[in-house]
Amino acid sequence: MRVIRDTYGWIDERFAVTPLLEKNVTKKMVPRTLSWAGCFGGLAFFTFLVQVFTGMLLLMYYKPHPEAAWDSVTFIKSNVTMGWLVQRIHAVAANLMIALVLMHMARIAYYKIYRKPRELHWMSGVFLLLLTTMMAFTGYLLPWTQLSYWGAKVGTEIPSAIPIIGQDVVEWVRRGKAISGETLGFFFSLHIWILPAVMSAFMGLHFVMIRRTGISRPL
Amino acid sequence: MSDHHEHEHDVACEPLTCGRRRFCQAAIGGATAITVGTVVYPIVAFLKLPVRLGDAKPVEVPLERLVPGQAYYADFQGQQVIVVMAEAGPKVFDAACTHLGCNVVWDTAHSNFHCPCHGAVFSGEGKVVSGPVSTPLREVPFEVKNGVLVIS
Ligand code: HEM
Ligand code: FES
Repeated sequence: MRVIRDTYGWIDERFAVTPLLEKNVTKKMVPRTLSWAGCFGGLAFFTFLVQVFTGMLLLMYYKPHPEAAWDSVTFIKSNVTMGWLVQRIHAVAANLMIALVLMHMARIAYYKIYRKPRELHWMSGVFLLLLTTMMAFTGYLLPWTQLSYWGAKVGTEIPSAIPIIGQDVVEWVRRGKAISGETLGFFFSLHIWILPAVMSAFMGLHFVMIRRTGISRPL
Repeated sequence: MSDHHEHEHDVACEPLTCGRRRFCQAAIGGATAITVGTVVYPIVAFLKLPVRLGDAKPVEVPLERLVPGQAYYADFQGQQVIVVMAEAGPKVFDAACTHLGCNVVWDTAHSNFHCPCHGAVFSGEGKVVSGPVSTPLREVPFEVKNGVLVIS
């Protein structure tokens, strides 16, 4: 205990952590009328962090290749200690994250918080919902199961409803006419790197804007 | 806390209050430790070496496959081993060079082992002949069962 306190004191003296913490966490004032529904945004962010950490662990063994993907996920679930847990948390928290984002939006919509000056909060939030569903959609292909395969098939068929260019869009997202190893590679790069990077940028914007306007006060 | 007895009747620190406070601190600390533990334990466990089912497989070489003066290469637990047929019978060596671990190769013409990395040479019995090494090649124990050489 003493060692921890002294180390903290040493860092605090040089880096001024305490005033930062007081201003932003321990002594930060929030409207007294704020309800528990105000937690959903933060909880959605928390599940995102859970996905980032469990995803990094899964990446140690996952192999993005049609001949190896399913075996590598099976290997994680049966041969890696606690692998079953990490894999399940990643799959369950993905669903939870979508649910939390929707609940978060429901509160904003119900209390009409999206009105001036918070229109951009809402717009960036809509992009975050889209990105979250894209994360779940691309991740779902990765274990390369029958469900994954047909899920990706059906999902990538949707843009075919667009007039004239529909079929081209379908082939572009599939990286070919059918779901293949190229689709897997494309979805993999989207899932572990491109989408998380874009999402982090949108979250950064979202959070900076919230700091500027502060939490809204329900009437 | 050391001069506890002198302060026993101190208003600010009734024994009851002190005990309750310490109990609460311990309870909060304990609950925090358990929570952190349930997060940290699976992560640390995940980083342990996984069980690779293929590892335990023994290497089996029928003796009639071994030609005197020539080498038979096999993979044992992810490491190359070399079986050579000497006059006195077969010998098995760990292919890892005792310098920095490259795989040595059997040179049939000279009946010795060469390391491609820094030029170490070992005799057919695994003894050091030349190069930047001082330790002989590691011999791998084996058994012969019904005319089959088994490394396990
Ligand atoms: C940087 C962050 C992330 C990384 C590095 C990552 C990595 C991975 C990897 C390697 C897999 C394949 C292993 C498996 O199938 O279990 C996977 C699967 C999956 N991921 Fe992610 N992931 C991340 C974030 C997310 C997020 C934010 C979501 C959803 C909101 C998500 C949803 C999924 C889903 C639904 C699966 C399929 C799980 C299954 O059905 O077994 N991931 N992810
Ligand atoms: S590793 Fe064989 S000589 Fe250096």
